Amino acid sequence: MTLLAETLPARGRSAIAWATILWLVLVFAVPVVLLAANISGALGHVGGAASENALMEERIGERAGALQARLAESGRTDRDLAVFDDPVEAAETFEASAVAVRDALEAAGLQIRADGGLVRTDLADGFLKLSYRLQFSGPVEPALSVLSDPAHASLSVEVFDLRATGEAGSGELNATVEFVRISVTEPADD
Amino acid sequence: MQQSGVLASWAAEAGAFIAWAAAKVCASLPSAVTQAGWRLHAVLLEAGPDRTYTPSARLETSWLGARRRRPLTGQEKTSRAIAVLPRDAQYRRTLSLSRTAARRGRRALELRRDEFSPIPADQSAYAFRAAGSDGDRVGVQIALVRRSDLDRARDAAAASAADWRIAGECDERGDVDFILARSGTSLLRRPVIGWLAVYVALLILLISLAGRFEREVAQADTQRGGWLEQAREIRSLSDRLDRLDTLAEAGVDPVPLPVVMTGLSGLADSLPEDASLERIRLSGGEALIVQTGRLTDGRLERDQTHWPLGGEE
Repeated sequence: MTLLAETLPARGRSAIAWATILWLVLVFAVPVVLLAANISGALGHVGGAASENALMEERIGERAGALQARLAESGRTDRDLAVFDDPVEAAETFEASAVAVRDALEAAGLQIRADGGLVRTDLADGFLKLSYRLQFSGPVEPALSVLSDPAHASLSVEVFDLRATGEAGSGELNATVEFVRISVTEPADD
Repeated sequence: MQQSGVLASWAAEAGAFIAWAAAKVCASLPSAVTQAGWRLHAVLLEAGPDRTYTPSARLETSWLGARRRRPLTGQEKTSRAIAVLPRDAQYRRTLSLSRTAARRGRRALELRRDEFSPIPADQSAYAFRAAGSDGDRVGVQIALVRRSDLDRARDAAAASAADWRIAGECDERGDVDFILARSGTSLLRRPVIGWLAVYVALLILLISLAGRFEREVAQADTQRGGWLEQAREIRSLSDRLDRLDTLAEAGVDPVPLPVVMTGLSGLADSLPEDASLERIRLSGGEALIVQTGRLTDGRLERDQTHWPLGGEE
């Protein structure tokens, strides 16, 4: 027995010996056990994740293919899907676009007879219809030129009514155009 | 026992303490456990009447470090030898140290060498062991030998094995005590250091493997996250298409302005030359209704045509 051990209290020597050996075992064994457990867990996780990912890839591939087919069949475009854009931003953009048409018509020499302003109409299923009705009159050519301007290509119409006025071939019209944009009432979750 | 620096001294003390603890623990374990795995540990060399050291026994050790002494078999192949000095070549003395002094071990004994050594320090060597305690005093038994006797034993041991020790005692159970000298194995070449190196190498291997697998887990999780994101996008798009279908069924389906204007541009060329346009309006999102007028025999005849937005009707 070492001198150091002999200086220990007689009653606690056995406990100290056990504590020393257990401490040594823990110090050396715990890192190995923890690392081995870590590796074992990671191996299981990687194996499970690989098969799960393969299954997900297959299923998602099938769903994506089906969705692409459905998209192609429905003829839906990004313009249709813009319905789900942020409703506040959509309303602001829509109103600005309609006002831009009105201003362009005025600048082209047409007379704005009525400006309905932005109107919101609730639709079913969480949709909202934004509409902006303009009534104007004046020469045909500038009117068609403004409406054909690519700058206004983002707009859609629900009412488009052109009436010739005056003598036949005079080239004057009265027009009612209602721009419409459908929007969701609440921002989409994603 | 020779000192090879503070580190060696500290390692020796720590090793002795751990050996004591292991012996204490092993003593309380079943003998079937402590005595499993006997194997040759060293060959014992003992001096005969002519002071010549010859192999006298084999010392075996179990997996848990228990020792036993066995007769030679003639098959001993080991690089370790323990030479045991004759009892009559040793001067034994028991000192009583305070607990405080005992905790200092050999350093405390060095200060009191004159008390137990009748031989000058440069001509002697000593080893010691605990010899019980009484109250605040700790007994220390010292085995002192002449250096000439130690050198003789050392020569004999070194001639028979590369790894050798000179002990003052080896009882019938195989317990070796009073280690007076040992081969000059450096600290780095001791078996425990070899085991530590193996252990550290194992740890490094495990750490690198764990790191590698953790990266693979992260990669798999990232990939899975990507798939889940795609699945969410597909579901979201599918839901949107469902809602758009519902919207279309409700009859809300505005027509892009460029589609209307493109329809109009083709319309002018296809009208009869004598017809004049009176009204054009959108109908149901799929066609323009075109009203024209024509003077025939002084009468105005009106006509109405559906002009599909996809092309000429």
